[in-house]
Amino acid sequence: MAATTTENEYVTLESSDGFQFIIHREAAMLSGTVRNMLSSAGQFTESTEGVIHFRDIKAVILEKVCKYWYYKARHLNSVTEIPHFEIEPEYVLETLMAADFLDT
Amino acid sequence: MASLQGRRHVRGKIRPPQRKSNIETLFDNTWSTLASAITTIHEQKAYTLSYEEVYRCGYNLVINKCGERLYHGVKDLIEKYLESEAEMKIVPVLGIADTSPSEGVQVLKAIQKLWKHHVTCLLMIKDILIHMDKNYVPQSRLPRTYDMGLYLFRDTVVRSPKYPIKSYLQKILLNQITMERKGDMIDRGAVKSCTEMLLELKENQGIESVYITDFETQFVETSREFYRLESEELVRRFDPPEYMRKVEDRLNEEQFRCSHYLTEKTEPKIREIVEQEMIAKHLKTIMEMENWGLKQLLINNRLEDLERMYRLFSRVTNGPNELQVSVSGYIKESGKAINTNVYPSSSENAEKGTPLGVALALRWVQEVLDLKERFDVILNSAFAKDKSFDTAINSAFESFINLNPKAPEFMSLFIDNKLKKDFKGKSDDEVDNILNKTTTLFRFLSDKDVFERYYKQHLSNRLLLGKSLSDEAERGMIAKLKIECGYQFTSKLEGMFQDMRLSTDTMTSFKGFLENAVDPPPIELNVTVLTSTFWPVPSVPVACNLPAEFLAATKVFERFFTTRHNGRKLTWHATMGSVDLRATFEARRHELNVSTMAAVVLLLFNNVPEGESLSYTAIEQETGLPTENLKRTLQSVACGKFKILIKEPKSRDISDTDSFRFNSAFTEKLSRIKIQTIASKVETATELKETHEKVEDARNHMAEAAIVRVMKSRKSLDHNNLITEVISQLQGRFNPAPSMIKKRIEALIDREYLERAPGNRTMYNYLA
Repeated sequence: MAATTTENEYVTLESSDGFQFIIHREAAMLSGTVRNMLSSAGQFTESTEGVIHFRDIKAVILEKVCKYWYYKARHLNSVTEIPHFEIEPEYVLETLMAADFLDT
Repeated sequence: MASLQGRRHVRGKIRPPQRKSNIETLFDNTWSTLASAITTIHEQKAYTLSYEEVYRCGYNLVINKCGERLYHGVKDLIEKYLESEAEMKIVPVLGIADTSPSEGVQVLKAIQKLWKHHVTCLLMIKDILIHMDKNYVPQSRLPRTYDMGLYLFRDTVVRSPKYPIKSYLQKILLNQITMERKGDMIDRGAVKSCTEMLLELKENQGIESVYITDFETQFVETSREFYRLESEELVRRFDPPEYMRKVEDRLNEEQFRCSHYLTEKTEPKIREIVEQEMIAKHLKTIMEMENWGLKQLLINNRLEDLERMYRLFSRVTNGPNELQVSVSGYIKESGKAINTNVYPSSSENAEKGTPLGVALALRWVQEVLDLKERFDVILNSAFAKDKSFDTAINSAFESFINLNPKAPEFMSLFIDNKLKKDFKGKSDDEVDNILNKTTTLFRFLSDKDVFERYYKQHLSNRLLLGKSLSDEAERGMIAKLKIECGYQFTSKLEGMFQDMRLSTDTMTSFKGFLENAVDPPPIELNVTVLTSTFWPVPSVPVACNLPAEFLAATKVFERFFTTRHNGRKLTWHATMGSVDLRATFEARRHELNVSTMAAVVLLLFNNVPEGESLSYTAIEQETGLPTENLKRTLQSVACGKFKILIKEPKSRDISDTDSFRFNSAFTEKLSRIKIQTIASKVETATELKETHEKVEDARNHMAEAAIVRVMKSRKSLDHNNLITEVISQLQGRFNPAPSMIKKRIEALIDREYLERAPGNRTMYNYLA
């Protein structure tokens, strides 16, 4: 079980309002919290099931976060100029809090 | 939560959420979730937990400023858990160690099990509390969760204030190691994991681990005690080689132990203990043991054991030193044995002038050489060519060789013998090898000038009597001496070779001269012209009345020589030449090769009627030879192997009342007979005295020359400095005594080479 999930390419993120985001495990691991969640010696439910339920993050914000991870993954080692990552002002505070929670 | 509330407010206005009232309820709720999660982790059921949930709890507590309560709550929880676990799992097994020490490993295993479990749990707890570790812990300067957990383990389990776990742990570990030292099998894995655990546990704020404070110090102490007892017992029970093997095993064993289940850091400490207790404290005992002590090892050439001894002794500070002292002590002892072995018999025999003296000289040198060779081997293969050992061995040789006053003569005789006889049929390499070894002995001599004198004497005999086997070997030897002592030392020896070469040329032209001569000499004459300063010839030739034919021949040569070299004075030395005679006996004719002196004596009998004899006094008068030479000559023709003359009465020694007649009944298979004068033997007492006087004389000259040299360059110098300078100049040749130099200085003052500086008695001035 452990082997298959670690090898599993994707991971499912579920928001507080029930939306599921299936994204690359690699991208999700850019979050320190998610990384701990999936790789801790504890074998917590998240790592065995491959599904992470964020009870405090709404889909709008989680989507934003996912986009950010992909944005970061793409430009991580880029040498050219990095484009601006847009966040709508009404989501700024919540995104900020989610980012702190996720250690991203 | 915060975000949900925030969104209800008017756009663009951001307000901090106000939830002060419900912090208490929030803490109670979230903390109970967290606490049960930690308990679940301790129960090894972490897979039932949602990380997100637990993490969120920790996160929320921290951002709501409950970090301190969270931290201490976790700490208390873990501490309680450890306490109860120790009580339930470890304390019950402690009793086992009391009843049976070998079962103590059960305790180790129990501690180990708890430790492993604790570390695993700690890793998970650390993971879920990562937010606290990153945000709350650094600002309040507390140890991180993981470290905090380790400290807890240290303080509640290992150093439990309630239970004597610590003392049991120490006792069991030490017990296990002692058991293994005594040859029992132990569970190394258990010991290893415990020491690893102790290493992992650190003191507060420190890098020093609990291993050092709680274990190593005790371990070092018990080891010291163990090895103190063990070494005492082993020394009593085993002979040194066996003991040293055991020590080496112990050293390896301890090293192995440290690298396998203790830590490398302990290794130097424990090694030092073994070295101190087993080697340093028993140095003397090991070396001086009756049975297979150092002496026996040296005598029996036990290279392997000697090497081990060297290796072990080198580990402790004064080991090599002690070993050197003992080794050189042994060398001196065996050197003295060689000396005394040779001495009493040699002085006895030398008086009689028997060749036994030579044999003894040869034996002495050979024994010294053998000893040296043995120690060369020992040095190379057992003492790792250690420079300080080399020096110690050499100085030991030097001291005992110079204890034998005849050493220079013996060495020269040895070389003489080798060059005359032993090198026959030997390859160049062998010859070179022997000469090299002799040169190393020569290096030890302090009276090199005495050696030079003997060597010159022996070399001149070899050259004049044509006894040298190989010119090359002779030159090789001289070259070696030159390397050792410089040009000055060998210049005269080389001059002797030069003279021999020139004489061959002279004789060729002399033969040509004779072909045209008006009055060719009645006998064939072969002359070797010697430069008197090079050769050890007496300044006044030994008196000898040559027969008329001989005289005539010498006159012819003198005439020839003065025409070629104007202003040179020729002196004839009958003592150094040889003559071929043809003698008719009843049985047959023989050709006799005898010394010139013997020829002079034998020719006298040409004028004596058959059967008649000549008295000793008559011969003495006719020949004019000094008593010493005449007696030796007569001895060689009348008492030697070939009896050309018959002596009345028969005996081995010549006395003034003896009479001699021609032995016409002489028979011998060979037609050509060589009659040797008794030569190149150990000197008689008078000769010895003479040689010493000559050497003393030469030394005085050298000392004076050195003084003048020094003073000439310095112009004025004080007494002590002058003595030091002179000694350093002369040391290559002999060891001058300061008193002797002082005498020479006074002699030079008398002869007005030097003066005492006016007003300062210790200063000397050079007078040009």
